[in-house]
Amino acid sequence: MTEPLLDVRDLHVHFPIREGALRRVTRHVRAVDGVSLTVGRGEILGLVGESGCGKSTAGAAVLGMQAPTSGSVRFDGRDVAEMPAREIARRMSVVFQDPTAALNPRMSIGDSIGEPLAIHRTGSARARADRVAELMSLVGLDRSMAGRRPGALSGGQRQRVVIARALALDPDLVVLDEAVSALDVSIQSQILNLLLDLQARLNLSYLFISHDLSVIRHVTDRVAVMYLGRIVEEAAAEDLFAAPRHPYTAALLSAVPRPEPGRRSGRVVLPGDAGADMTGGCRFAPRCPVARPDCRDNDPALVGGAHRAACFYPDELSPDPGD
Amino acid sequence: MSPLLAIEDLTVEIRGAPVVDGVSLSIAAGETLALVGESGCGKSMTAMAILGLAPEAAAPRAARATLDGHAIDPARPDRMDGLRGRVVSTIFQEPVLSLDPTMRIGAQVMEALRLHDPMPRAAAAERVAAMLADVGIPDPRLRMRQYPHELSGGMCQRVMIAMALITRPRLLIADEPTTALDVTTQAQILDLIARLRDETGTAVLLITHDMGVVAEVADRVAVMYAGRIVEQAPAATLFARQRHPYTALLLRTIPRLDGPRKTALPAIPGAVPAPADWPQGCRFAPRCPLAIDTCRAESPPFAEVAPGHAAACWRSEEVT
Repeated sequence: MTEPLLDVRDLHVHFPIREGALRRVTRHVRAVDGVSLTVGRGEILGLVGESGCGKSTAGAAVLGMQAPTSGSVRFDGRDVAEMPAREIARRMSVVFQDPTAALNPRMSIGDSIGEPLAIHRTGSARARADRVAELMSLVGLDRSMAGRRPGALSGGQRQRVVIARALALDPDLVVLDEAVSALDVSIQSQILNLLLDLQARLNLSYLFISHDLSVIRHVTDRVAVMYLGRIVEEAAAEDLFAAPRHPYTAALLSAVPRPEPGRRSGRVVLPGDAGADMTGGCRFAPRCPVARPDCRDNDPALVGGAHRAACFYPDELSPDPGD
Repeated sequence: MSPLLAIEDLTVEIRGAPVVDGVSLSIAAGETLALVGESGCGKSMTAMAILGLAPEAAAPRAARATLDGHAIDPARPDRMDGLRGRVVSTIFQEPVLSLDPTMRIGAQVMEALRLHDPMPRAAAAERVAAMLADVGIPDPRLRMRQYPHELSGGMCQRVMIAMALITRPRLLIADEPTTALDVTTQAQILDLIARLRDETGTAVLLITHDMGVVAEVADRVAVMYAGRIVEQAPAATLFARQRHPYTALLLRTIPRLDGPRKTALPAIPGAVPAPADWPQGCRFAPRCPLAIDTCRAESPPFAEVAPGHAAACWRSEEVT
């Protein structure tokens, strides 16, 4: 087997909490608490979970934007912590949720797309202008729009600009952090189609971070489900959605409202919220519908072959809780 | 029986552009009507105008408007004064922004109650604790002493719902009540709204962009595009057969948990135009796969296409 492009091993990112008059560190928030994952060349890995599960922090650590507390992030065989920032920027890029916040309102969109080229001094000014035009048509923007400011564009067009800029330096890996979540439904499908098309044409690798299970299922090859800083289940997208092996994944899937009236039954409603009351046992146990007493005592590891789950009783689940 | 809420020909103009353009709708007691559409379609402004909260400069007006037997007028917010809270309550998308960060949870909910129903503090506190328990807040007496920042988003939205429902209103207007919440929390809140509606007979006007949410809770659906209602039908009818191309595309363009993977999704080309740029004729025509010359020239009437099912489309027969 060839080495994966991205190889994250036992990643921890802990943030200190300072309290009291002396601002002493009283405890740590374990945003990412032992995550391992890989992304192969040309592969789309989905990282899915609810707010606060640590998926965006994991993405930031992959990009070298957040130093790991422990563990390693290896990109193309090298430790990201030892890679120069310029090289990281050339080989990995990121698209966030809000394109309006990602673009300088006073800069023309052509300049925004060309900025990475200018910073990395690639080619002549002429060659850079040609590349900007090429990138614009690649993402479905009319070249004549290059002089416009972001304010003159729709939300969908702005996200196309951000995607064009993310592709400017021909990266190998693009981290897409809720890249379609803020878009209206009619625009979301346009951007999803574009992202799938670009991935196939340029053989890109994506780390596709989202809270939206339907979107994750549609675009990804493999999926990792995160809960309170850990990956609780990982499998090929098809297998994970057809037969989840972790009760959290099953509950998430059953909670997704589907556009079919009259199928409200069969939903697993989880009690409470994802809290931080970690007792040393399985961190999902306090909300888990199938938890047994020993789940609160021991922390299950992510085990299995191609379809892995961090659960002592993965066979307690019916094959498809959605129906 | 006359409907609980009836609005006819509601119009709201911002800088000369009709952001709500001749909207008529009605809701019966105990019924949930979903008003569906994308950003900028006018769905939230419709709700604001019903509540008398549309900006005065927007010249909100309606041919006729009644709420629980009272004549109301979008241009006369004062007529709503005695009705807000008692007859109609509202919950918005961002619960954290809607709560006062400097006030304890208990005091905020109690204020909503005692404003409409003067009673001694102790009795009010009793009612508030019972209501908070009812909306699924564990340990309500403890929560009442806490501030909004000490609660999660889902808990804050439950507090908002408790505040909206403690006066037992006849109508609840819920504007994207679960959009900012995680799916597991969303499921809890949708169940809660449905249960309270069934128990108290409160009517619900649910404003959302999410067809999944619509299918879960709505009895009837009105789809808005560019300031107008383009299709309206009972939920089961609408999901079974759409008679406006926009509704049909909205349903097909979203990835589904039981759909094909990695395929190109049916997309709606272009974007919703700004109100000042709304085209002549049918406003959806420039993005519509079925559009013909008639559509670009003449606005289609909102007409009944089957019993209880209306659509504004010249080619509604051909929508599949």
